[in-house]
Amino acid sequence: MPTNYLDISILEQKWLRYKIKFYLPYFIISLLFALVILVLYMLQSLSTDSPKPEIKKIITQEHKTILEPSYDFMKNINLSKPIKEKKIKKKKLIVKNTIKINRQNTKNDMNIILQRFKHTNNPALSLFIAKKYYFLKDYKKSYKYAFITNELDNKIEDSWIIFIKSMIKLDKKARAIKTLKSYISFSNSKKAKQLLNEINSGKFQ
Amino acid sequence: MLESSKNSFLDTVEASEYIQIEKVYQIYKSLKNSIGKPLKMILLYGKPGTGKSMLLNKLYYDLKETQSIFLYETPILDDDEFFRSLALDIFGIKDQDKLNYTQFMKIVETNPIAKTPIVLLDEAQLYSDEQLEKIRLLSDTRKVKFVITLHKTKQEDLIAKEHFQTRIWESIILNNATKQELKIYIQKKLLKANCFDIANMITDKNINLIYKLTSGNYRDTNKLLYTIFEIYIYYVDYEKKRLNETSLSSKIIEMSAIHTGLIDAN
Repeated sequence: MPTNYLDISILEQKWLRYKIKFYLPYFIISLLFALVILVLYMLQSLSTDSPKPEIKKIITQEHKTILEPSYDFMKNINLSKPIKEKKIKKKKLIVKNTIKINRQNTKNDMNIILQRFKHTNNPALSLFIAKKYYFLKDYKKSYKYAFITNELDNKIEDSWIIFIKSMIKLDKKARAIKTLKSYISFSNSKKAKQLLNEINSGKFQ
Repeated sequence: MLESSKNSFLDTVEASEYIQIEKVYQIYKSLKNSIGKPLKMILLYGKPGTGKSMLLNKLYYDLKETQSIFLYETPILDDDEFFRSLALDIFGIKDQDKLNYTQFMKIVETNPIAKTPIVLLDEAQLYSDEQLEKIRLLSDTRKVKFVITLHKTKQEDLIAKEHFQTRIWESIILNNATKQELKIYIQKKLLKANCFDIANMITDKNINLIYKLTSGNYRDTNKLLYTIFEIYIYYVDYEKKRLNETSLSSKIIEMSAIHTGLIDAN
């Protein structure tokens, strides 16, 4: 039997009371802290649920603004001549202030550029045509002119990109990826790598 | 085994229970050296439970075979009885009906002793001012050497100051153990009692808690450990399922501290 003066059950009760007393302030502080955090979180979520109407207006207005590129400037560029000459000419034109921009519709623009390309066989023109057709969502033609560009000069990065993008749009994904990988292997093009990532992740479809 | 562990922490001042710790050993060595010097008085002081009585006891135990040494563990508060006890112990003179300070001094003068006797007075703070004054005068004659212990309180500091300051040649202060010293003390106590398994059971975490509760005071540690083993034995005997036999739980230590008053659980 335990010694007379040492009553374990009473001692255990005292110990339990002592532990509760010991941890109670910590428990209360933790509880208060949790409550404060909860209240702050609720207040924050309430404020974010109802944004100000003025902000909404701005957002919708921003969506309405659409910028489209104009290709009219191409008429004034004589791509059949060497680049150096072109630059000099441009400078002269700027100095003389003699540029006249005559706006025409896209169809006429394209006809002029196509004729010029047939005449000069300049890959810059065929690339431009490929880009234009891609922009107009005529993917068969964009594919064709990108291919032609590539035939003329296979080191133009943009022609490869348009070529692959057109293939994707024409549902030739597997071939497009294969081509893109082979292009990356010899060019190490960052643009091409980014496009491959976008295709693989489904960002570009 | 558990009983031996418990009993090893019985709060006694027997020299055989002395546990050698480096710091205490240094103090003891210094005290022993002081005994050999021509000093009038040596003062040992410190808080209760710091080992003053144990040290005094140890000194007596070690020197009693080679020196004329006398230990007074309990103060003799009656003046007459005090001097009669001294006369009997030092000079072997008894049958004195009454012996006051003057008569005792005559005995001292007429009975020369080759080697100065050493008188160890424990709990000297309990002596009256008048008695302390006589002890002071007696130490001035250099016929008797006194080693006294005092509790260190403000009041007792004053006693030391007023009565002994000019006579004390050696003053030794004893403090509580550090955490490391307390660990060594507990381990050595258990190993001395051949309780190797129990010694291994006490972890650093246990020591930290014990130190937190006792502040390294030897007397409080003895009381706490004694009760710890008492509670532990109860669990072994009656509620073994609730006991982890490989380690000492903080619960048992805290229960023991509640029982010994080191924790106020009311």
